[in-house]
Amino acid sequence: MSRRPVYPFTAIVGQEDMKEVLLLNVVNPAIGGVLIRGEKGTAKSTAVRALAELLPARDVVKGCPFHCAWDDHDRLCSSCQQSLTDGAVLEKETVPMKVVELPLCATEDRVAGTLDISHAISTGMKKFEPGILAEANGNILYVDEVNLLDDHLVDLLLDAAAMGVNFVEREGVSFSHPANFILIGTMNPEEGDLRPQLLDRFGLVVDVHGERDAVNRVEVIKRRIDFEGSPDGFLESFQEQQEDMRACLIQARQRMAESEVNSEILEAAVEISLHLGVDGHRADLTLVKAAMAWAALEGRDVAGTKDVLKVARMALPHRMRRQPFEESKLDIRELDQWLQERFSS
Amino acid sequence: MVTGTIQLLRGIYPFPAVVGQDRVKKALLCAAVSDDLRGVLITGNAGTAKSTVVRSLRSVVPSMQIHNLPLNVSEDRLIGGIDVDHAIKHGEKRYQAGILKDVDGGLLYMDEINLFDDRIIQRVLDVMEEGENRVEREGVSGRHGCRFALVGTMDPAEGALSPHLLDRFDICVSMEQMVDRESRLEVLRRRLLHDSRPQELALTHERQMLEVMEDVKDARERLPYILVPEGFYDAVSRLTMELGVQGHRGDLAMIRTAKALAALDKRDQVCFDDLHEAAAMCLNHRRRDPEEDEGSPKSQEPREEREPTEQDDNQMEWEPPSPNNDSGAGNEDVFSIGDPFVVIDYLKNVDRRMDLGKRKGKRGSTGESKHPGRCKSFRLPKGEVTDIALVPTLRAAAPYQVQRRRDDMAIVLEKSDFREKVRVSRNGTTLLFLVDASGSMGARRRMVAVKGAILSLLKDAYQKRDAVGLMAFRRDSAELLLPPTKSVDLAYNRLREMPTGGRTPLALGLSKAASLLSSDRLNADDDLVMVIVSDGKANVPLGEGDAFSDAMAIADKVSGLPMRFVVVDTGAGYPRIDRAQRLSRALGATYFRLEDLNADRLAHSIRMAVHG
Repeated sequence: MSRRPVYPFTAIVGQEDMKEVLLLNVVNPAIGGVLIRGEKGTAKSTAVRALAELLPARDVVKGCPFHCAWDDHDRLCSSCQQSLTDGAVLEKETVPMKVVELPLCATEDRVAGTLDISHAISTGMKKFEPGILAEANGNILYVDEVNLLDDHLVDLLLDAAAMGVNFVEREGVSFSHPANFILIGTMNPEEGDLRPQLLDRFGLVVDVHGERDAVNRVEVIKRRIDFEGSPDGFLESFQEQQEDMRACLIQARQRMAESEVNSEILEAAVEISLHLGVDGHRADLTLVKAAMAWAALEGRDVAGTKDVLKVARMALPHRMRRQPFEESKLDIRELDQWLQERFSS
Repeated sequence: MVTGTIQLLRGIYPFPAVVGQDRVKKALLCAAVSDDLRGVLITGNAGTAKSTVVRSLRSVVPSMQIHNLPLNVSEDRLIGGIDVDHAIKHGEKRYQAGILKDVDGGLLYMDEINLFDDRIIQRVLDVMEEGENRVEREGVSGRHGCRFALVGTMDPAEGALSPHLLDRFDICVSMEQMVDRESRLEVLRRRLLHDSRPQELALTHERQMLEVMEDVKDARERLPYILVPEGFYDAVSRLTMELGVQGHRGDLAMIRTAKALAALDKRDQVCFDDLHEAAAMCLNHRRRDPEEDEGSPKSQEPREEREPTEQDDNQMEWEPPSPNNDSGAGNEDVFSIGDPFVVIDYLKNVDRRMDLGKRKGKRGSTGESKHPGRCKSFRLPKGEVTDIALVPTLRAAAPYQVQRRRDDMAIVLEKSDFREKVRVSRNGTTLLFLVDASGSMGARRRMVAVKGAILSLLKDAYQKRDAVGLMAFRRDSAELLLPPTKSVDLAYNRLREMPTGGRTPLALGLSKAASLLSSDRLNADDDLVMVIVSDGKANVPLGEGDAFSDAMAIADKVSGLPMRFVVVDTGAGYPRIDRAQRLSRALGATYFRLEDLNADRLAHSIRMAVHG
């Protein structure tokens, strides 16, 4: 069976903001995902699916239905935990990280997992059948048009995102398993809002627009046609760029893992949050984590104020203190100006 | 001892390392100390460490298991039901306990409690108050003792708990906002340290953790012997009466909390400070006096004063607030939005979570429509089973398997076993606001109050996840400002920009709104509601005739359409022109006066009437 070719990430024309945001999440998954807002036809889905090709491999426990991380013993599923207590050695398997899609029409039982009906009928015994959240553990969970997701599915996501664990307590099934994932959502704001709780769970947000530069627009179309005409040839022509990007990401992840938080970025993050009157602490945390990831991506070991400034416009727009119906949009220009004045010295 | 502590702390944030939030921490400790304290509710905006602080309690009260109740919990798992495995093997019905059995003696944590199904919250609260879980379902009965501390957290922006549920929480506290630089920095530093090297953070707070642990243990021993000076009971009941607290739960909660506070402070007697602190924890969510609430309500008073009593309600008689206005019907103003308020449950005569199966013309559908809704529970089928609830069916069949077993089938189902799903749709309401934006609404800045009311209705719709549309009629047209959408921001912006001025083409507005709601573009499964906000004083006829008769004729025609109507009468003053009321009757609508939508004010006026 041949795999459907995926448009290469590095072949996407323009949309730098969106690409940066996605890469930041690969460098540091702790940033907590990204929400991509924009009109239709702005390569949102293409970019997310293309990202899958660049994702690093990861070590998982062999045979575990939840792909438990092999080296993180704090977050094992109950059966892996059990084998560990029984003194067994967990076998390692290296698999690529992947993008798991959550379709809008999914039912609750398919998302959270449910009773394995065929098993119940043929044996009369209860068994848990893992759902999409199990599949997403350790991977990227992608929700297209996340603002149109049904409420009860949003509730499931919230629960899982809050704890990194999916608890299922329904229809005679009682089960929990780790569900740590990078949440990536796309939405067209004209079709409705996202509930504030879910919004807050997205680490970063980026607004995308159609390419406005005429030359670039032509390039977008040309590449698309080339790709559709001869996918293999097209992929080959971007092979090298893809390889470079992959190598760059691996280095950045390494650098990220070794870097230390410094007080310069902490103070900058708090300063910005206070100035904007952001309520929760997720903004501050995300600013710090994203700033470090940005520095790592740029090949620097130490992050500084300017990295915080760089990521501020991705980490803050959706976190301004606002109740529904309150007006307080992030004024990017005002923020830029203030930042410059405040941090120019 | 030392290593033991650290072991336990894997992944748990150390309680003393939570920066600030003294009141919330005190409240949690009280719940850990006193078994009599029932229910702690913590409110706060997103990302203010609500769940972190609750989960961290484990670090100082290691004996207290914290059970997380997932939002999607089903009733059978919560309270228990038939033991399926046993039934299949032995052909006997036996009760198998649910989560509540495990929770016994521990702490039940409901994150985002305001998003839970009301039935689940009710069930949990009932069991908590009884101290026992009694189950009668699926042909089994079971009971077991069940004492636990309940902690709920919620973001108030996502909708409130109803007052009767709220009242059953002994303590309700809110997270404080962190606005000073130093503490915010500290929050950040500790959180990052916890994420990267949890043990290091735990070690730096080890001494404090041990202290708190000791305090809790000591307080638990001390609690039964805490004295409450006689006069304090009197003070408590006087205070609760003054604050307009209903019922006696508040009084009891205050006394219990004060005792726990005294015990935590290593005293043997409740002192005045304890009462003071207990009042802040136990009474805020119970007082119903709108004036006493924090924030906006004060500003409602002056608004009323701005509306002098009107002798004659003439639509041309309105004062232009902006100076560069020329007179006449071409006038146009954009009024600001008045203060929003809590709306009464104005759609309550139709259950929002309506059974899809009961819908007109929907009977017999397989539930496989585009929006099948969520399966809420199950029931014995009426007629043919089309939407089978597999798991309950299997559970019903389980006890008979021993007798029925034949051939090589593992499970034998008979007709009597079948259960069907009861589905609910939570997203199924579309509200179209048809707003009179004519000049008469501008009189004495009436529009400010009207916009305030509409905003309140929009907020209400948002919290209930209804779709809203906005149509305004004035001069000689009815304009759709916003097609039905779930984006409340758009609705807000359109409302803000909506101009007022000109004459009143009520008939036109009605017919346009009705045809919009009847159009195919809307989801056919949705419950449709037209909310007409007007004083009913039509003065633009459709043709040559009388404007109001035209409106009544249209009303008569559209009243038969499959939608519901709500008329909000914006007329002010006395005597009230009864046109909106007549319109309402013609439509078969539910009628409200603008003022009556305000839940706080309504409650207040009723209380005044009752207490004289």
